[in-house]
This record gives sequence, C-alpha cells and structure tokens, in this order.
Amino acid sequence: MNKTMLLLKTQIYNYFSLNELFHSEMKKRNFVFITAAGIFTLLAFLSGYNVMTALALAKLGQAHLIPAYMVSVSSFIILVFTVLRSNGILFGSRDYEMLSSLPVQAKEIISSKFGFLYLLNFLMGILFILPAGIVWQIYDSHHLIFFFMYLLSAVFVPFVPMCMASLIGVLITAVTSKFRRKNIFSLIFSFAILGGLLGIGIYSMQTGSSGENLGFILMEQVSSLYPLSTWFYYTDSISLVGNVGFWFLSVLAFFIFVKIVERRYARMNSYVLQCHAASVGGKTSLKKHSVFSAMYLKEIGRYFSSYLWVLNTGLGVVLLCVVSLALCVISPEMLGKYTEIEDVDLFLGQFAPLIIAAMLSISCPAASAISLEGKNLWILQSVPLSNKIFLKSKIALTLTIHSIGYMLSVAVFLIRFQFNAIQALTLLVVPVCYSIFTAVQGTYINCRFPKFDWDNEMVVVKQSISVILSGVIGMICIAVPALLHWFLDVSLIKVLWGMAAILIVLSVILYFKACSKKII
Amino acid sequence: MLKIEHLTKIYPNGKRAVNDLSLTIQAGDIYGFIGANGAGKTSTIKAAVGIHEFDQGEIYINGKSIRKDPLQCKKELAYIPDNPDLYEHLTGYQYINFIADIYEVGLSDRKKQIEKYGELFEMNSSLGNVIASYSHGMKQRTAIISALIHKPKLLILDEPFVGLDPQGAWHLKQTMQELVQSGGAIFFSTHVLDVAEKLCNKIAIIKRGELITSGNIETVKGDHSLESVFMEVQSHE
Repeated sequence: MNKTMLLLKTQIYNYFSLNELFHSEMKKRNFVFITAAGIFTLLAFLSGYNVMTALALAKLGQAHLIPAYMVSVSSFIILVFTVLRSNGILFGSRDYEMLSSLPVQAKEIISSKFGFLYLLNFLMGILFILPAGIVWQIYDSHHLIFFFMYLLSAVFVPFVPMCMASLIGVLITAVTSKFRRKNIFSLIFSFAILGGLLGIGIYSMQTGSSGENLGFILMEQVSSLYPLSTWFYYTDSISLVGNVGFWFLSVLAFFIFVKIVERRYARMNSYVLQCHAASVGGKTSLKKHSVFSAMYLKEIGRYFSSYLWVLNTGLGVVLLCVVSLALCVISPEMLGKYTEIEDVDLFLGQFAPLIIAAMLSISCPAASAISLEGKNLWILQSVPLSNKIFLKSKIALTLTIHSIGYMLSVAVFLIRFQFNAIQALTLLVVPVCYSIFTAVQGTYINCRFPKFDWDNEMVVVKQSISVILSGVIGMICIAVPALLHWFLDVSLIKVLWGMAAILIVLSVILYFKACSKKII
Repeated sequence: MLKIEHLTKIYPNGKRAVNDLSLTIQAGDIYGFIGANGAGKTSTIKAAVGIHEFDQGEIYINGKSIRKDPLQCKKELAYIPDNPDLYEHLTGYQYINFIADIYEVGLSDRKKQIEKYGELFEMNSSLGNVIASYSHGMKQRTAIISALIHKPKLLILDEPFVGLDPQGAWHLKQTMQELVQSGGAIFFSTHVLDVAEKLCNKIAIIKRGELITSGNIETVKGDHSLESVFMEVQSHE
C-alpha cells in the first residue's frame, strides 16, 4: 500500500470512528446503525428526487438532457459543499504537525486529504448520476456504450468543482491570514462567496427564458450553470470524444491543483494554525459575572472563534438576514413580478412564519455545542457548575444566534408587507417556538450522543450523529405543516399554531430529559 | 479533608481500574500517589474530583459525599490534570476570570490572587495573550493560577511537575508547602520519586488498581530509598 493510500485509510478510520464502531459495546453500535439508517433514508429521498426530476425531463420530451443536467447540478452542489468544508479537511487539521514530522511528501498528504474529500463528494455525485442515468437509459435508449461512458464519468465529475472550491478555500485563507481577527474575515469572505455562488446558480437557471423552444432554453440553462456539462450531450459517437476530454481535463485539474498547493502547503497550514499572541485586554478588564453569564459569554466567544462552526451552523441565519436586507430595497410589487406570485402579501402572510422558522431550524449550534467541549470538558467537570446552567448556556447560544435573524426578518416583513392581526401574530410567535425547539432538541440530542474525542471540529460540526439527527428532526418539523397544508388543504395558519404548541410542549419535556443526563 | 472508602471503578469494557481502594488525606498532608503507567492513579483522582462516576465505595470531601453533593465538594477543592487543555480562544486573564466567576470569587480577591500567582509563576506579561499561543508549560502555569484563585482547601493534582521548568516546579513546591501550612491538604500523583520523597509527608503506592501500601513516608520506605521500595513493589507478582 503506498503512503497516500495508507494516510487515506487512517483518515477514514479516524473520521468515521470505525474502530469505535466495530469494537464498541452493542448499545453504542445500535445508535450508529440507527443514524446510518437515517442517513440512508435521506440519501434515498435525494435519489428519489433526482429520479423524479429525470422523469419530468423525460415527459417533457427532453430525456437527452438528463446526463448534462445531472452532471451540472451535481457539480454545482459539490462546489458549494466543498467550499463549506475544504478548510477543515485540507488545511488546519490537528494531525498536520504529526504528519509533517513523518517521511511523507506534501503531495502525498494533500492527495490523501483530497482523496478523502473526493470519496465524500463521489458518493454525493453518484446519487445524482446513477438513478437519473437509469431513467435516461429507459427513455432515451441509444447504445449501451453511451450509458457506460456516462457512468464512468461519475468517477471524474467531482474533480473540477473540488479543485475550484479548494482553491477558493486557499484564497480565503491566504487573504485573511494577515488579519488579526482572521476568523471574522474568513467568515465574511466565505459567506460572500457562497452567496455569490448561489446567485450565479439562480441566475443561470433563469437565462434563456426568452428563447425559442423548451429544449433550447433548458440546454442553455444547464450549460450556463456548468459549461463543461455540454460534453454530456450524447448525440453521436463523436460525443464520446468530449466525454474522454472531460476525464482528461478533470485529472489535469487535480494535478495542477496538487502542484500549486504542494509548494505552499506548509505555509498555508501555518497560516491557518497560527494565532496572534498580541495582548487582548489586561487584568484591568477583569469583571465579575454570574455563573450563567460567565458560561454564556464563554459559549459566545467559543462560537465566534470557530470558523467551521459558524460557517456550518450560521448559514440559515445569515441567509435570513441577507433576504431581509434585500427585501428592504425590493418593493413587494417587484418581488411579486420577479417570483411570479400574484398576491405577495397574501402569500407571505401565510408562508413567512414557516420560511423564517425553516431558516432558524437549519441553524443549530446546540447540536454540536456539547461535543465541542472535547478535551476541555474536564474544566467544567471539576468546577462547581450545575448541569442545568451548563445546558442553559448551550441553549442560550442558539437562541442568541437565532434572535439576530428573527428580529431583523420579522421587523422587515412587518414593515414591508400588509399582514392582518392574526398573520402578524403568527409571524411573531411561530418562529420563536421553532427557535426554542431547535435549541432544546439540539441540546438534548447532543446530550444523548456526545462525541468528545475528535481531532478536527469538522467531525463534530458536520458529521456527528447528533448534528445529523437534529437536522433530520428540524426538516421534519418544517415539512409536516407544509405537507398538511398542501395535501389535506388545512389552513396553514392553523397548522402552524398547532405545530407551535406541540413544539413548546416537546421542548419542555426534552429540556427536563436533558437535565437528567449527567454530562458534567 | 479527603476520604476515599472502598473505591472500585470498572470501565465499560470490564477493566477494573481501581479495586477496593481506601485512603484518608488530612489537613496538613502532602500526600503522594505513586504507581506505574495504567496502575489506576488518574482513575482514582478523576473519581475524587467528580469527573468519573464510580461503581462501589464512597468519596468524602470535608465530610460531604462527592456523589451526593458534588457542587459543595467541588467548591472546596481544585484540580489540575496532567495535560491541561484550556480554552484556547480565551486569553489567560479571561480564562482565570471565567474560573473565578464559576467559583463566585469577589473582584478584589481575584485581582489579588492573579497578581500574587501571576508574578510568582512569571505569567503576568503573558496572561493577556490568547492561550492558543502558549507553550505546554505556560498552560500548566495558567491552570495552576486558576486552580488557586478561590483559595481551595484541597488541591488535587495529576502529575503536576510534567512540563514545568525547574523554576516553575520550585515555585509550585513552595505554593504547595504554603497551602498545607495554612491548613489545607494536597493529594497528587507523580512519577518523580525524588520529588515525592522530599515533598510528601505521606505516600500511597498503587499497582493494577489495588493499594499496595500507604501511610507516613518514613514508615513506608523504612531504611530504603523510595525508588527501591517502588521497584520492589513493581517486581512482585
């Protein structure tokens, strides 16, 4: 086994805690299998969604567009997801110093870390490419060689978006490393780039709307989202040359990326891992706080000191703030015209509480806050601190982050749109109930499934059992009222009030259950 | 001050880390806890400070059970681990202030303590920097200052001299002496037998979770050196 593969294997064992999984007691293993079943269900839903999209294209008579469409969308999603995580996996990992003391070359370390990111993205890509590919083969059957070439391309699809996203990550690191508050600048840059990418995505999918026929419009949209996808229109045998060209280009992109990063890898890591030792307040700044305030301030400080934690759990609140600020300059009439909604006031009067609640639900720092205590847990375990205050500080952190998005969005919605009293009250109350539930359920689930033994925050913030379960529960709580409204034709306002009442009751129950679990 | 009665700690994998261990540490004692790697020292210490739950026995801090009344017990003690992982995003001052807040130490008291121990451990010029920039020894010194902020009656330390330079180690020994002279007690584990021999008035030797011997250091070692007693204990099956 060469060194790259050896490093990759170790990383996989470490990241997914495989040794723990196979050698731990039955109860723990059962929890892991339950989570695996949860992830599998989510993946099945995603595959199902892609099959439905492919079927829709086929029914519109555009089955030939399926390969290009899937390559385009999966590449875009890989690009966005890799921007969110590249700086946690490629750079700044705690094992960097240990690895650099071993007789391995920088390119072997980069390749193994890139290989790990690749594996995660390959699995993501295959969920788009394989199920939709089967639909394509059924509805637009040509030679089997086309299908085979398309499937083989799934191996190469992640390379280009991953290289682009990783270079964006390198750029962010390089630019912000000069600043003393590099985390804050990294976050601003990352959110701006993510916003830019999403903007490009939305813009691309609207281009060509004045075109001649549907096939042409769709083709234009797909290729403007990801120009390389034009090599996936299988019209004749020459198309295969384009396919092979795509493979070469993907591998070339990877080699160029490794060559660029290899030269500066040590410096990039020291940028990420360095900390500025300059003085931040002396003993004159000593102030006395209550026990809860001390814990709360510590939590807030911890949150904003972690680039990965904010980037991955603050996205919903940031989106909410950006949308709210955008609504300050876009008039309701313009919004109605742009979104093709006839009565914007009526629509938002119903859906605004759910939209705000959804944004808050996807921002749940509480689901990883306990695990992130990690090796520092001994501090809280050995001081006279009650479990209740410990948990309250975790809940308060999430509520504080939510309050920023909530206050801004509710104020903007109430000022810019015409709501009646019931709609306004729903807008005020329902998101608060969702926010409380998100904070409490995240804390409770993290109490049940804490993971203190980690080397990289990314393991906790993105891949831990508690974060996945909490995310699934959040999505279900948003989906239930929407589905009840759409399928059973129940008034959305009534459903939301009913849901809010249930969530508050559940929050109280889960809070007391969490308090009974001994963490510290 | 600290009374451990028939302590038994079994890990989920079935390993009996500590078996029926009993010890009494009184005011004025500097009690050394010696044993090979994996003998059960850290497990005993972590149970005594309330970090680990245990399966049998009882631990009392000033007559209060750590199991039944953990908050009151923890108010009277301070613990310093062998590898102090502190909050790296905080500065030294912020960290010590945070610990002082948890112990509800008054503002003037905390300022006096920080000044006193900051100077003693030569940390005054570094406490304004973020902990992430500290060396291992500086983190150890910060952990010591924060442990002393609430003037604990009982100090429990796990390998306190690892990572400290000779000057830091000397100041820590002086601080330990000072604490016991003012009526406190110290219970610490160590591998440095010379330090234990010179510093402790009582000693306990643990092997594979079982207490082999304990009591006044002179009684335990007799006419031999502590090192030879320890080696003899280790060589007996």
